[in-house]
Amino acid sequence: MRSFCLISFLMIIFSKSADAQVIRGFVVDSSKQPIEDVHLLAEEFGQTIITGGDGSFQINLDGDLGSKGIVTLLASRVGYEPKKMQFRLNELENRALTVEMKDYVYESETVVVTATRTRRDLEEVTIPVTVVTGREIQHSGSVRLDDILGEQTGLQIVNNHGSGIQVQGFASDYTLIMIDGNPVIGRTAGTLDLSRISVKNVKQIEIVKGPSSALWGSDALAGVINIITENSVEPVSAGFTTRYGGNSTLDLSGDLSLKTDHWRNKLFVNRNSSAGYSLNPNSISQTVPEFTNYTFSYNTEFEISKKLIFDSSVRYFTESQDNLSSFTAPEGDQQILVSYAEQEDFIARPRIMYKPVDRLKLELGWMTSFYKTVTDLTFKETGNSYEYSEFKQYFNMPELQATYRWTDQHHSVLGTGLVLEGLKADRYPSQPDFTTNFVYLQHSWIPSQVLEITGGFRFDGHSEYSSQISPKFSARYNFTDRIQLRGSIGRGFKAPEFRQLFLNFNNSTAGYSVFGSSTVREGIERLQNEGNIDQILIPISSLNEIKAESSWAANFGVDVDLTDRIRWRVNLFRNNVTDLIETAPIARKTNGQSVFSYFNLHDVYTQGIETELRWTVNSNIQASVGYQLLDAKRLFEEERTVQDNRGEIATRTFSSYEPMFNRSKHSGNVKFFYDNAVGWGATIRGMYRGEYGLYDSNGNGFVNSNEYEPSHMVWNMSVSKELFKDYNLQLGVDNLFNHRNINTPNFPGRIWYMQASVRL
Amino acid sequence: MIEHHISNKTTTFLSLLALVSLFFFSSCSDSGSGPEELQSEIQAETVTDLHAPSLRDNPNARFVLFSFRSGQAVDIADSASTSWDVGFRGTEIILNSGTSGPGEAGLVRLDVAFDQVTIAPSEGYETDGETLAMADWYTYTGMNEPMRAVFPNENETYVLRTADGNHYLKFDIISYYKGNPDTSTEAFANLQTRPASPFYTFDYVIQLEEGLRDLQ
Repeated sequence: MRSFCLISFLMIIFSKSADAQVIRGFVVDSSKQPIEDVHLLAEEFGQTIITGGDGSFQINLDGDLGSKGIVTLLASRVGYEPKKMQFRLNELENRALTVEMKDYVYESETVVVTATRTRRDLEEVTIPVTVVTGREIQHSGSVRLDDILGEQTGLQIVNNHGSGIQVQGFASDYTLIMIDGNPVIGRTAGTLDLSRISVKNVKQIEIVKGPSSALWGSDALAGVINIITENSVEPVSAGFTTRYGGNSTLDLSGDLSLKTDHWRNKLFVNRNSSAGYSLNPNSISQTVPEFTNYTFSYNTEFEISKKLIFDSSVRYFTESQDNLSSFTAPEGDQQILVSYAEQEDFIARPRIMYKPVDRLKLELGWMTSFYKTVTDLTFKETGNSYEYSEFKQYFNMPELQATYRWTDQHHSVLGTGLVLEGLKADRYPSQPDFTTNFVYLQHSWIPSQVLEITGGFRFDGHSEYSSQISPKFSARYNFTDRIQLRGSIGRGFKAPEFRQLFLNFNNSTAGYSVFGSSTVREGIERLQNEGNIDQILIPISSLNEIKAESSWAANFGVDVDLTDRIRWRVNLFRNNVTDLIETAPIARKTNGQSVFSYFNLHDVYTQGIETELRWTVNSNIQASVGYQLLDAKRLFEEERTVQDNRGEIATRTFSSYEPMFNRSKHSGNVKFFYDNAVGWGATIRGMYRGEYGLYDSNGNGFVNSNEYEPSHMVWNMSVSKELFKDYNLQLGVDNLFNHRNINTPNFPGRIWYMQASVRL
Repeated sequence: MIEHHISNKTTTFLSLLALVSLFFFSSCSDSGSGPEELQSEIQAETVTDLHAPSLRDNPNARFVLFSFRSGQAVDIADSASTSWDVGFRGTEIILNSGTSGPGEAGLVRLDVAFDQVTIAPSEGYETDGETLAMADWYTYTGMNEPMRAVFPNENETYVLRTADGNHYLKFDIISYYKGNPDTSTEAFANLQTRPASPFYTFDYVIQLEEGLRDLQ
């Protein structure tokens, strides 16, 4: 109060003085509402002032006014476009200025880490990153990761041993899923089941499409999805959410945050359960079994000193499933089996961050993870065991990263580390383990605000397959204020899976054998010594070392701000994939069956266009339309016996690219989000999937015109209301028009749900 | 490799159309050529429902012998002669050569559609040995729908030399089931209502002029 009086007093004095000059006025937004906390800088005088609650400001210029006939005023505030104005000093006398600032629609506060492994503004990175905000997740009523990813342009949920994600036409094997930068392990037949991951504690999801192995190594061939969890922002905060919906699906979440000046903590607990559902009335097995799972996660960050920070994240997930299945005995009578399955995974990563000087940042972390599954089948009648199996996977990754800012124009990232993986399972009697050592380097050059160029590579040396070098170059160029161009060229790879390297499997009933590329020599020799090999089809001596599946890809995109509120994004992509691994017979056994092993066999390309139009109608309404055109084809090469022009026998190789299964040429979405100042919110989202091939009824390996499944569109809606500021009620319906098909097992039909949450 | 049924039908229809036109063509060219040089004489035939029981149907089943030159079945009593070219028993098809007979019958497999074969190669003919030259002429569906069905390979044409070594022909197996049924129907998929087998329906186009290899 006293200072206010003092200022007022001084103000009066100076405005009366002949030599002093005063600039006064108001700052308003486009709807003429005053804006507070706007920074105003009188450039020539080096003086700054902040607007008050009514948007008013007054700068008392001091210094030699005579030599500076002109003043430049810079207004800036988070959420608005910066504004620069110039005035003649003598014009300003006895006049109140009105400064109007435009909303910065695409808020510049969004910081992403997935594109460069450093914290960068979303608008500045050289690779297009899609960010799904925690707010969007909350409004959409999403519970698990597949719920929200399935609503994003260019992403498709595909089902094969769980809900996986298809990116740019690649099966889910080829996308790296991370939580806070830590790779999630535990894939079944290549699919990482996204329903394992709760999205109730997510700050944002960062999606990078196109190969990112130059930074993230194996599996980042089609792209990277990084889930950034929340840490505490308030001193004390606790939240609780409960959601109940169709199929007796219950989701309970609780979190607790504590924050002091130096220590941030967040604990999150989730329980999710469902009675499951069945889409096939003729089967005793449910399509999705009854399950219950729990997620516990804890994030902590401790500032030991200004230069030294320790942080750690720990996550544990466990799920149990109950189902029935049937089994036809060799005598022909059918018996019912009780099927129980259990899975758990654990990730922990303690890390130390050290900033010895301002321009250098060092991070030393150790990630440790395991994944375990148990399958237990027993006869319903007798209770005797039919099959029991366990699978355990271990993953350890110590890693050191250094970020160095040479100047404002040059930044580098250098990292190195080790991956130690191990496996314990019945089909892998040797308990294989392998190691990867890696080093990556990335350099960014920012010659001006409108141009940035980033280049880098990563080397992965592996104990069981050929080493990989994955380079990537990308650039951003702001053609105008409204048009941003981005382009990249890079290589991605996917390491051979455990089974492709180490499998040692003899089918005792059918009599065939399958060996991984690291176990095949030994396996064939053993079978030969036992006298079980009739004929070797591919000599062991001519076997090449198995290579990782890899691709080269180019992406080119444009962001156009058609108006201040409409952004149009287009991205063109092309991936050339080589060395896809598949099985092929290597020898014939005396029993007439074959011995199979894994080989680099197939080449594939995928290309397409992804586009999205986002319209922020006003601060209450946001609408968007997205579409992806996809062309994914596999190369088929076939030697054919034909005739030359004299009619004699000739052999020619015919090659053609044929459409791949489970790829929709067209897909898209329409979304509408509304919320207002009194706490009402509503969303309508429609997701379209065009026709796609599913069953290879003639076994030729590609989709024929009669093998397409029909297209479908699924609509989700929700309405929410905030009550007394801390409480929130949400009512929603997923799959409003009740799309149900055994071929889309992730859609149980129309599901109503209700959610209540409180934040204290 | 089996193509889907629409194109199956289409190709069958097209080949029938081609056969009809071939008939037309050959009968026209007969009347108007000079006597001096070798005169191409092409005959196109379709044989329907040639019954050739398998050993499973009848443990004493004998091969049903057939002559492309006469277009007639040949009595099994003449099996030691060159009067027959090919023999059928269930899915087994033998040629009158090598381990199967005294003749010189031979086979060239071409991965070319039947209509596109216009001339027989001069060499490269396989004879029956430890494996039959005509082995693997079909695809067995096994547990795939329609279950346990035998479908002739698509886009594969057999060029044969007759047992006397003097004539060439092209040969296309159309169906293994009685009445050449539509294999995409419910009735075919159902093993109870599926038409009987083995009943061979096949097309062939033979050059009746000795030594000429033209098939069109």
